[in-house]
Amino acid sequence: MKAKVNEECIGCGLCVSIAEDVFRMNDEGLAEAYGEVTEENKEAVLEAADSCPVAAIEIE
Amino acid sequence: MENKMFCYQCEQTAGCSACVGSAGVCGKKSDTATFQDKLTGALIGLARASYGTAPTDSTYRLIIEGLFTTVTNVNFNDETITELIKRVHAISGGTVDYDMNELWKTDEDVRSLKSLILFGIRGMAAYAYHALMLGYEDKEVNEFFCEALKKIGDEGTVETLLPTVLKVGEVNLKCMALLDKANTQTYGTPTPVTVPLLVEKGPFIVVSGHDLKDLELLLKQTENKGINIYTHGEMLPAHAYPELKKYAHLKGNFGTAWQNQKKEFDGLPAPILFTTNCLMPPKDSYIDRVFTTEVVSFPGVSHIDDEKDFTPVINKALELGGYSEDKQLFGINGGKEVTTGFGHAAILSHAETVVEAVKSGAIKHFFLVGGCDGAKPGRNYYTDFVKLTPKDSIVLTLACGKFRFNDMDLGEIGGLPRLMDVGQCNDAYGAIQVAVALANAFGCTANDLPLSYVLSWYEQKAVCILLTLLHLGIKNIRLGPSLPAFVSPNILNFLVENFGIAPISTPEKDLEDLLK
Repeated sequence: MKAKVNEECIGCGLCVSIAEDVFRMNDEGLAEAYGEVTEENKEAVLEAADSCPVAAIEIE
Repeated sequence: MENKMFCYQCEQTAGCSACVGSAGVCGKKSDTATFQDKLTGALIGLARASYGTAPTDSTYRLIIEGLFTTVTNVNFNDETITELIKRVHAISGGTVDYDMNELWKTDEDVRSLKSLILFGIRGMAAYAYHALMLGYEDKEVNEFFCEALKKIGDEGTVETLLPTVLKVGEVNLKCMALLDKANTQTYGTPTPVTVPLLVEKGPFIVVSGHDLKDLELLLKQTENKGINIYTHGEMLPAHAYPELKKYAHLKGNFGTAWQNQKKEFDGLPAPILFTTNCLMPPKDSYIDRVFTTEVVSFPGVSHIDDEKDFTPVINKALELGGYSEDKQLFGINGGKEVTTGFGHAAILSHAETVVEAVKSGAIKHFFLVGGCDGAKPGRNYYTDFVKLTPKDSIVLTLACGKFRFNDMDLGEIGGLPRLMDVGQCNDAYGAIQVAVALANAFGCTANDLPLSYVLSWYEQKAVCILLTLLHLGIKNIRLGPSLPAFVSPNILNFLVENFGIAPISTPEKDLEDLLK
């Protein structure tokens, strides 16, 4: 499973607060996926995708 | 990122700064935020036009409705907000609307104080609205909405605005007292009750929000129809009111606090009625079973209008059929039931026991741990804090923040439960009454009591309650999970220096400090 943040991101940081080992804020103040999705963090990543206010997290 | 909106009224605010993109963290689209600003600007225009006149009851009601509409997670619908703006213009005549961009771009301390006033009266409007629905109004409260709105539109300085900020707290105390009177005179005095988290098999309806009258009307319309009713979130304390709990089909509570709704409502075999906030943008998997009423609205979601014919909700419950077997649900700590109904009347009926327990040392400290719940992971602070409270302390709680710990059994002291749920957020009035009564019994001030306030905030009702506590001179409040983005550094310094407000740190450290 892979996570990707698309151009809809509003930079709210919610995904980072839910799954910080997969998402981080970049220099433009927007979220990006940088970490691997693992069995341990999978649930948090799905929760982050579900919680994203603009549905900017794509799970492949 | 191009700035498409400006909103920083809730605790989730993007980057603890402001939501400025295509949508807010609450899910509100930028165009909806713009319409909400226009509505607020129109209300300020109306307040200016009304200045020095005697506004009619319908003018006050429109102002209250307009302010409540802009509270976080209430209304996401451009159409209904536009309609409200038209109604405001229809009575404000040719008055020019206030441009909210003037506020957002002004000096940060002035903006901060005007924001405290605006968000405070938005929260207070919710309470005034609920009281109004039960036929209760207060002239002073109504007049203050106009005064405060006008103040936001006027030129102002830190010195001229600070008294109005604290006056929001003063008037909100009256407004919460009004709602307390409306609720208790209409539905009786709340008494402690244990509420199961078990959903019985068969058709059911989940009722969310704060509006007791909507719940009552739905209970009446579902009587003898084979449909059970379950409260959700802030509706939980309804079980404690005699005139509501008399309905045998008001069975229990479904789910936890608002921020878990996307998980908890996913695939729910029952409709959900939202009477107030907090509505989150519904997922496709359950949007067909969400209903709104009063000022709550979301595009594409069925709305029950003022005629209050809940037939579509009832039919949806029958169509979906509920669970085929009884389903035991759990609180976030694994509990199977919760308690509520420890309003000021219930607690003060044991005043002598409480006073004696304090004098004998059986009770050494009281904590008020409550406020809004929310999505941030750091909010487990409140669960951990309550778990760590000493066994010779009482924990009072209120509002939906309690779902972090209200399914835990903390035991008893002298026959009194250690954890007592005072009620909804507006029942902060009840907690204040308890504090005042205890202070009187011990001949001291509320600040001299062994009572600590550990509060969580999310939306604007928490703002008006915080201002009420400040108006009462309550000091050393711990506030979290983060401080409001709309409080500028200078204003924060003022609050720290004069009221000792501090952000939460860790449960261990805060407990140690508060018990010193």
